[in-house]
Amino acid sequence: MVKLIENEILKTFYKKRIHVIAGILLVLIALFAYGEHYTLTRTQDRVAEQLGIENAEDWKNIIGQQLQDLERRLDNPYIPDEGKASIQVRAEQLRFYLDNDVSPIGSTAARFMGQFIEQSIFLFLPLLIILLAGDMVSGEVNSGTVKLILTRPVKRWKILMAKLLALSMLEMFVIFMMALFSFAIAMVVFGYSGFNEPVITGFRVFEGQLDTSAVRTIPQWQYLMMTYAIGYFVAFVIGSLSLMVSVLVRSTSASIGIMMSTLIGGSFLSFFISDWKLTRYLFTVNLNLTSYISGSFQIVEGLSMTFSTLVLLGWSFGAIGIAFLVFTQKDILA
Amino acid sequence: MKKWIWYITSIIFILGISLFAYGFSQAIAIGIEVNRAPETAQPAQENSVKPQEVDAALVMGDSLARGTGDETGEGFAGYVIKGLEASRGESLPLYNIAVEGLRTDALLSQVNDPQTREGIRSSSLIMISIGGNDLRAIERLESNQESQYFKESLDSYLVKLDEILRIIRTENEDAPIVFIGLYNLDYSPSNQERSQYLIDWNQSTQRILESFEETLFTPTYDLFKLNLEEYISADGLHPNSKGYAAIGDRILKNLGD
Repeated sequence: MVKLIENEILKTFYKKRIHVIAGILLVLIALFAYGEHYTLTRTQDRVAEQLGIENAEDWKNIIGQQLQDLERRLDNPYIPDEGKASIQVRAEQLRFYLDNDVSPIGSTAARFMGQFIEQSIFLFLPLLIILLAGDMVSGEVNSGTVKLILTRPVKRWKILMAKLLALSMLEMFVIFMMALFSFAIAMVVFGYSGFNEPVITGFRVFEGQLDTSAVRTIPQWQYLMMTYAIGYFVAFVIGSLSLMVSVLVRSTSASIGIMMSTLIGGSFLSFFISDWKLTRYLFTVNLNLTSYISGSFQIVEGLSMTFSTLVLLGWSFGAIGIAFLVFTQKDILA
Repeated sequence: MKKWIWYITSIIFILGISLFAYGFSQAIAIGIEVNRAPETAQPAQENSVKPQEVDAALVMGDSLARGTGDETGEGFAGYVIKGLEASRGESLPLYNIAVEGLRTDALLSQVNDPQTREGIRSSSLIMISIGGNDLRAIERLESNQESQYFKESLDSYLVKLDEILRIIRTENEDAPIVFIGLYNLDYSPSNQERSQYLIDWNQSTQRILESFEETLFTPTYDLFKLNLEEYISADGLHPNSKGYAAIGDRILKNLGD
């Protein structure tokens, strides 16, 4: 079995799929980092101008004042405890900026890594995975090598299982490249890692109102670990769906095309009919898992972390089930 | 045979899975907590700690009352309290309920709140700074709309100010009320028209204040005129610690205590 998995992974490397993905990642991350850097310097200039300060070093005074103000507010008996929680969290963040000499209007490598996965989790990352998984089976059918494999004395389900496990490992490799490249490039551009910076999380919307009583800070590295873990989960779900399509369809291009159009069409759909209850069971609607921990607002009401995770798991298991069923039964004629 | 590719992918996979298993479980935990309905808020009377001291000072209003721009964080109220404590030889707690960017209508609803009323009742000195944000909206207008806008906002401001002072006086008959006048950011003759508005505003405010007992209108217009460079903080809008100290000084002298 291990031999089979190893074989699958080597095949993917020989086919240069990983090289293509690495290339796309490098170019995109570099562009993204450049764009981020460009907007940042402009924002910094604008903020400095607005505050009437000469250079960006002066931000310390202003942050120091804000911090003092927050601390005085904490002593205020008129502010209810729920309000104090969010003040405390904000103060903690400001204190970090001062203590570590990090400008809050600048960016760090860790912040960039987080932004990159948040932005790519619902479209870019799935597209890369589709590219990777789309020809897992149909590629073999295309080139006719499937016949060579199936004549070996190995059970069919074992072959597909090896492909699934190899795919899981390759997905991890893609996530790893994503993290590594975005860290390396952002380190060059922004020059500060910032893995200990506190990140605010735990915002929730309750009965239409922003509730901040559960807000707390976690260090940036922990936040990144969570977002990249979610990224891997999403990659796995998309991977299993692509694998299923790849089993069902004979040609690689059709398999990739079907997955891409489903993905893009699905996210369009969620925008247009967001009040139709059934759309929440589409997998595309649930891909943006990171928004639950970063506190961004949701498009479809009634979605939650647990709900989305379960829906995605359902799609994933369903797809794997169908893939195994079809692959073990199907007549391979071509 | 490129064995190393296999090793690297395996190692990355094993490390990654163990790391992400932890990360994902945490993400789920946060996700679940975010989704859970917050505990129903208890009625305000039960969980609020009210200042029971009869002798306390209360400062309310906008960012000026809050002390924004002061590097030491004191604000004019802080300096006043320090001065009073030094001359009386006893400590005087200060409750600052000012909110940055507050306008008069918001202050009115704040003063109407039972908790604030309670605070007013137990204060021996009340300091207010309000109106600057009401008037500042005029800067964004075309010059031909200015005078119309000024008249309307001044009228509604005065009505609300009167209401605020009335509420304070029903809750607390004898604590001195100190009101901080507005200062200008541009005293040059080219800005004369707007300076005129500011003077009108201050005068009307003072007139309202004089219709109540124990009120002190503390002008700052003259205080900042020749000291603008020295008294304004880096944000170009709020006073710095020197400016606040100067205002505090003036209030102390006026209180004469």
